[in-house]
This record gives sequence, C-alpha cells and structure tokens, in this order.
Amino acid sequence: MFRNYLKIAVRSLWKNKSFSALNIAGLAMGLAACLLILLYVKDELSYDKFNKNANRIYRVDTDIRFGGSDFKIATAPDPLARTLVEEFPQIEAAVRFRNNGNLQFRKGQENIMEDHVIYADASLFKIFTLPAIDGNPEQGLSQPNTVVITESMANKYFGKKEVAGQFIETANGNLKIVGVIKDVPKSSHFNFDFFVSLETLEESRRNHWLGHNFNTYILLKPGSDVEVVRAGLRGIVTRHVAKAIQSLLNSSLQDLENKGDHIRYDLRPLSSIHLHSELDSELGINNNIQYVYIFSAVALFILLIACVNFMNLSTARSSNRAREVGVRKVMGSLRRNLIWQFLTESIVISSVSLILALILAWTFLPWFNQLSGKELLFSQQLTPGVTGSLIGFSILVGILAGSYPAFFLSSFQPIKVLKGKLAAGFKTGWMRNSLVVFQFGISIFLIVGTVVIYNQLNFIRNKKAGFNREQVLVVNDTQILGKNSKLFKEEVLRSGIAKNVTMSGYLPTSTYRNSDVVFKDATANAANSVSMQIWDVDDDYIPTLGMEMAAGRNFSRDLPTDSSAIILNEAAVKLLGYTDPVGKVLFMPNGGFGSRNSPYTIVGVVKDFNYNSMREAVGPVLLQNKLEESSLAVRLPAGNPNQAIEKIRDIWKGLAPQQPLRFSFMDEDFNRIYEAEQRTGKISLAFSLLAVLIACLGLFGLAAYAAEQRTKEIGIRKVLGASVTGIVQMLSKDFLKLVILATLIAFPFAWWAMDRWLQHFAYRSDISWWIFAGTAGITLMIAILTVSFQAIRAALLNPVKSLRNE
Amino acid sequence: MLSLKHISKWVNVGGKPNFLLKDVNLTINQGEFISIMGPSGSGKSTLLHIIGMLDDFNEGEYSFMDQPVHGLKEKQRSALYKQHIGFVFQAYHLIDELTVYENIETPLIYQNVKSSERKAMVADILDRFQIVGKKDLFPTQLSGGQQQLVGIARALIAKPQLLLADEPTGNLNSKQGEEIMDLFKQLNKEGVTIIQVTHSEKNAGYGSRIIHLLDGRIEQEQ
Repeated sequence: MFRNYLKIAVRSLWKNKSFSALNIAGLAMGLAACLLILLYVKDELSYDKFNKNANRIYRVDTDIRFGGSDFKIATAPDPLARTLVEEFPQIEAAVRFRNNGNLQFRKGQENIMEDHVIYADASLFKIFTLPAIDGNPEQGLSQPNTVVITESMANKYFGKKEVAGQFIETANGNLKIVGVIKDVPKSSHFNFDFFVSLETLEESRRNHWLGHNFNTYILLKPGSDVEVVRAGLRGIVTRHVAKAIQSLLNSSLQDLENKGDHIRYDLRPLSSIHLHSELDSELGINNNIQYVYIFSAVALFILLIACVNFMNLSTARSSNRAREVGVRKVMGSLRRNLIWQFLTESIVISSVSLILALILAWTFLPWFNQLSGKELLFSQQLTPGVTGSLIGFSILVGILAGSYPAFFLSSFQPIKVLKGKLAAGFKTGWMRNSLVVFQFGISIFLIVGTVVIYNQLNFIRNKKAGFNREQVLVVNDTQILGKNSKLFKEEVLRSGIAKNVTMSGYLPTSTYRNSDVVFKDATANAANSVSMQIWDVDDDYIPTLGMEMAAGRNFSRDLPTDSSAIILNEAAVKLLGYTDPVGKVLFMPNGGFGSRNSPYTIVGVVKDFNYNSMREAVGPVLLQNKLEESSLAVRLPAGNPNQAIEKIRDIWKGLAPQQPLRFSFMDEDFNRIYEAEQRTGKISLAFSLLAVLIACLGLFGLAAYAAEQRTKEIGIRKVLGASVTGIVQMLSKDFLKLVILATLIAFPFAWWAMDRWLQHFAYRSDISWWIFAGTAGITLMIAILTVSFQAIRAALLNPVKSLRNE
Repeated sequence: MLSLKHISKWVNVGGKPNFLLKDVNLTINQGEFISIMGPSGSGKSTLLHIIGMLDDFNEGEYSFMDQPVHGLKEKQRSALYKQHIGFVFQAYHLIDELTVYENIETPLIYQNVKSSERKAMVADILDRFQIVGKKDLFPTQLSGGQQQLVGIARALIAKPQLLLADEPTGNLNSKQGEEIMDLFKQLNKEGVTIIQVTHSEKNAGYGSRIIHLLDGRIEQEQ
C-alpha cells in the first residue's frame, strides 16, 4: 500500500512540476533558514556546557549602591574567594581571575601585543574543564611568575606543543611556562590564551574588601544546596566588609544602609552567564538571551509561512484533485486511504525540501557565520542525533503542512465532485484566505521589526553623542613608550598632521574606566560622598574630541594651579545637586589607594557625552587634569588618513623601534559597541526578506490557480467586451484586499513588540508613521507585482481557446 | 437482488421541497440488463447514484442483497458497494497520473487483495479486453473508446455482481458506442447484472427492461 502511495505521490508531483517547484522551493528556503537559526541557537545555548562540573560552578556577582550610583559588577574583592572556601563547607574550590588588559610578549626579535591574557589562581583547572597537553598546569600555576598557555600559542611562539618548562619573555619580565592546555572552546564565556599565575600580582594578596577587581568563581561540592551558600553571603558582608567600611569611611555598615546604600553578593550559575549577564567587568563579551528569543521566533515564523504556503497551494489545487478523490472513493477508497495518500505526498515534498534545505544551509553557512560572527561548522553540527531529529522534523513538517489539505480533500463527497459541483466553493475558501492573511501578517511584522531595528541603529550612529568621533585616530598602548610618551605627543603635533592631539586612555569609546568616590567636604564620611567616573585627561582632551563646554572653562596649561582643577559633566553636576558649580570645591584622594583627601576646584562643566552604549543614560563624569598615557587620540584633517598614519608610524619607530604600533579609528570603536545590535539588524533583515519572498511565492502560486480556475469566466467576460485592465483588476483585487487586511492586523502587534524592544535603550528613535506607510506600500507593491503577473497572463489569453477547452 | 420501496429524494428550494425522485418503487433481479431513460432532469442519474449508494435519499427503504441500505453506516455501505458494485461513467473518470494497468489495479488495492493475485487478475482482464499492449500508457494517450474500455475493465476487476453505467457511450462516436454495448450484452450473458442510464433508444434496446422516468417518477416500464 505504502509503495503505491509513494508512486502516486511522485508521479503527481512530477506531473505538476511548477506547483511542486513552488512548494519545494518555499519549504526548502524556510527549512534552510530555520536550520541556520537552529544551529545558531543551539550554539548559543551550549555555552560553557563543555565544563564537566558546569552545573556546580557559580560566579560571585557584586551589587553595590554607593553615593547615588549603582554598580552591578561581575567582580568581587580579592579575599572573598579564600573566605568562601574557609567558611562554607559546601564549597569545594574557588578561583579568581584578574583582567589586567593586554600584555606584550616577545618572540625572537619581535614584540607581540596579546589581548587574551588573564591572571588566574591555580584552582582554575580544578573548576573548569581545560585539559592539559603538556606539563602540570594545576600544580605549576600556584607559583608566581608562571604561565599556562594554549596549544595554538605554543605553536605560535615555539612551533611545537611540548614547551612546559621553557620561559617566555614579556613586558613584565620572564614567565615560566608550566603547562600547555588545549585551546579554550569557542563556546566558553571567557577566551584566553595566556593564564598567568595570580600569585605574580601583589594585588592578589592585598586583602582589600572594598576593591572589586577579581572575577570569582566557586565550585560546589556534589549534592550541596546552592541556596544555603547564597543565604550565607550576607554574613560575609556583616563580618568582613563592615570592618573595612569602618576603617576606610569612618561609618558603620548600618549607617550606610540607613542612607540607602548597600553591598550585596550573589551567585550566578555558570550556564546563565553567556546569555543573561550584562554586568561591568565581564571576562568576555556576552550575548543577550533576547536575541536568541528574537531569532527563534523569526525561525518559527518563517517555518510557519512556508507551511502555510504548502497548505494553501495544496488546497488551491484541490479542485484539480477533487475529481481524483471522487473516482477513488467510488472505487472503494476509504477516507483513511486518501488521507494517507495526501500525507505521503506532502512528506515526499518535505523530504525533498529537507535535502534541498541542507544543501542551501551548507552553501549559505559561511555567509551566515560572517553575519552572526560565529564559526559554525556543518560537519560538527550534523551528529546522528541532529540528523535523526532533522528527518523526524521534516516528516513532522510534512504532516503538519499536509494535514489540512489531506483532511480537506478527503472529505469531498464523491458524487458532488464528479458532477463538478465543488468548483464554485473553492474561490472563497475562508480558511485559505485567513492563511494568506496570517502569512502576510507575519511578513509585515518582520519587516516593521527590521526597519525599526535599523532605524534605531542609524539613530544611535547619527545622534550627537556629545563628542566628534569622525577622523579621530587612536594610537593604543602608548604607555609602553614609558617616558617617551609625552615626547610622542609633541612630535605628532610638530609633524603638522594634526592640530589637536590628546593623551588619555579614558576615551568615550574605550573600555578604560575608573569609578571612585568624591566627597563634598574635607571630612570623609558616607553622608557627603558621591561616586562617579574619574578620568585623568590633559588640557587638549575637550578640544580634540570636539566636546562643548556648558559653563566655565577648559583646563589651561598656562595656569599652574590647574593641576588641582576639575571639570564635571552635566550629569555629575546634577548628581551633586549644584546649580552654580563653577568655583565650588570637591575632595578626593590625591594619589591612589588609601591616600589623603585633597581639595579640587571645579573650573568648568562639559556638556554630557555618551561614553557607554546608548542603552544607558549618561552617567556622572569628573575630568581631572592629570597625565594618563595609555593612548593618544589624534584629530586628523578631512581626507585620506594614510599619509598621517605613515607619519605617525615613523615617529613611533623612532621612539620605540621594537614595539608594534597599534591604532584604531574612533568611529569604528564606537560602532563596535553596537555590534550585537548591528548583527541582529542584519540577520533580521535577511530573514524577514526571506519571509516576504516565501510568502510571495505562495501568493504567486495562489494567483496562478485563481487565474486558472477562472479561465472560463475570463473568456466569457472578454467575449462580452471586458478590457485587459479590467480583468487584471478583477483578479488582483481579491488578493490585495487580503494583503491590506494583513497589514492592518500586523501593525498593532509590530508597534507593541518594537516599542518594548526600544525600551532597552536610553536614547530611542520614534516608531514613526512612515515606517508603517513604507512597509504597507512595499508589501502591496510586491503583492501587486506577484499577482498581476498571473492576472495579465490570464487576461491576455485568447477567449476562444479557453472557452473551447471547456 | 435489490429493491427500492417508496424512495423519495428532494432538495429544499426557497423552503419548498423540490422532488428529484418521488415514490419510486423498483425491484431488480439477478441477471437483468436494465436501461433507465428519460429527459434531462427527470432523475435518471439520481436514481442510479442512489442504487450505487453514492447518494442519500430522504424517504423510503432500499435493500441490497437482503441488507437494508438505509440502516447502514457509511463504512459498512462503502464495504458493501466496494464488493458488489462496479461503476462506469460518461466521462470515464480515469486517474490521469496512473497508467492503464494501475488504473485497473486500484480497486483491488483498496480491497486489500494480495499483490500476486492482483497481477493475475489485471492480466486476465487486460487480455480479455484486448488492451494488453496499452497497459503502460496513460489515459491521455488513449482515444475515448479505449478510455471507456479501461473504465469498464476497472469497474469489473473486482468481479462485481452489479454494474452501474451512467451514459457510458455519451462521449463516444456511434461505432465505439456499439462496441461498448456489445460488450455489455456479453457481460450480461455471463451473469453480471447491469443498470445503465441512456438517452439513446437504440442503446436502451440492448437491455431486457426499460424504465422511463419523468419528473422523478417512474412513468412507464417495458
């Protein structure tokens, strides 16, 4: 029986080649898109799961509210890890990471700046699954001045894997390689190549409860209750942090908390870091679960549209199949037989589509990888489990898409269809019409979503950020010039390539940040303290970055007293509650940790500028007139920057012949902050276009069948004198009504969903009427083109021919 | 073989019943060859469809081989006609996707006949209708007469006792029509009960009994 179904299915598909092609193409595109998104989602959800102890690993997050500012950070104080292991029997081990930025390594005569460098405790290897290839990382890393490197770094620097015991030269002295591990999997929320022993840093033994510089992870003992540990974290604050507050701020924890401030620790499961954690000082760039949801929804939508196509084309064709159903029923076929026959047909279609989809997905995977910033490989993803579920999935899609036509067609009364009574009923199938409305509704929803995302991105990119990032070249790592860094700035100025040059690592587009406490009075206590960003900049900073003053003046190198001058941004003035800030005095430590407070005079107020993602409002910033030499920002004149870059390179070589020059452009750095949004934008654009394309394929097929069914009517109308335009209008009208209805239904949903998405941004564009008008216009245009192609073809038919055929 | 008692069928038009058949009484015995005649709209086809259990009736009793059809469920009815009745249509109604061979084979598949038996039975009937050479052709490649021959072969494949034919020669030229009628006569001789609907006096003459319908009533039997 089954063979028979299969045979008929294949023949019937072959006989209606154009119909089958439409169906298979639509479904294959939908499946391919789904497959790509599925790979993406699967990869996102698999983060950190490679760790054997993944479900027992937690990170300590810190939540501080102090002096009017909130800090949610992924780091903790240095003594916390040790204290946790000592005080909680449930904790097996703890590890601390300290991110000190990049480090320069030496390979032969060459200096190489490495970004993926981290300081870590030796217990790292007890907690995370990072298998050793050579040496004994866990034992070795407990000694200072040791390092564990990855396989690819061993190859890069030594050309072989077995390098344990050798030394590697860095800007901070020689490090002994005590182990080589396999590369950290791509699906890890941190990705480092060099694990330097934390013992190397004096900072790791400082026992400073109020500094938060260490990403701290704990491993629970099997079977322990994380809630017990979580509940006990408050005790850490009352026992240890309170003392530190007393000695540093002269106030009790109680006083602080009465004022509304707090310090809280929390445990975050390892598995929730990659998609759910958006704190400061993360070890890597995390993704957002929101995007996983968005993409999954898009995939589901596309699949739905493709399935709807399938159903629609099949039912539309049912008038052609109706006679066959009638004959079969008269010959003794049960309804069951017919249902199976039609299901077999649709499963054949979905299977062929699946094969085609696999080919499509394989072809487009490199492009998708580029779009999504992933490195997915087909061969890795197609495990037997995945293959099995794909086959199961395609059968399911076949059944899903084929069930409506199957049950619909098999319900025909044989005698009615054989008498030809059913044809009239097909033109106005409400089910089919609602399916068309449904799929166009989804397409329109996706288009509006995409346009809003794009619009918002443009808005951010073109919004006045409070500083001018065009044509600003940023030379990084200038601190390695040491004493020559000032000379570098002067020589760049002297070379005449730029009028404005400023030296500071605290750029709006860098990740260099420093938050600290400022006091309104000379006596330091919790009540008069506020917390803000404190940046060391020079007097060229504001003019070079094109910032504007709201009040007062910029730093001046002609006034020696300006070494104790400060400039606030408007947000800081607001936080302090000053109406006339210029001339007022603030107090803060004059040099590093634990030093005495000194007075600083506010000489000016700079207009707010965005230094974080535009998701967030501008926070308070205090600019201090002090040398900070980790980068040099050069404002180039308009035009080709290559010449200027060459000049800078020459100057750099003169000052530091051994060191590589590293630079970037400020506008590119700025755009990088929005990489996630730009990716989402591009991916949703690609997939919503695809959704529209698939929906149009369906509309094209439906229009073709409508025209075919009305051939006789068209013939009669033409004989009676109808014009071609009149007939095209008549045929197109029905479909366009549906598309317009879909538009009206989709708009409120789209508006609601995108409005919610925009709430994530502190600065957002409007969802203006033109987005809806444009979407409606474009969709209608596409639909008109699709339908009228068929309509014109039908209208141009010779009526004599179509009538004789009857 | 079958008997219809006081069979009526109507459709409501504007709240008033419009009778398609009115109080039809008819008994048909094994081995008869019956022609139903009458003008367009007299209810010929409706009567044939009711006999073939493809259509319902509103009133009356119908027993087929001593089974009350009006009391049967859809499935039982289907099983009953599948086994005992074959249909021939004016428009042939062959399945375009299937070859001649497969068209003829289809009823057997629905009756769950084993593959080897099916082969033998189809080969038999192809041989008998002298269309062995056409078995791998598709319906569209045949002439009207040949298509109708296939249609009859398909109707007979499951060895039904009753053959229902709705204007079997309506789409054929006179020579082809004659051949089909000769075939019917031959089949009837072999014991198949035949009921045909026809417009042609000449074709009606092949039958043993002619029933004239007018406005849904049996006007005359001869």
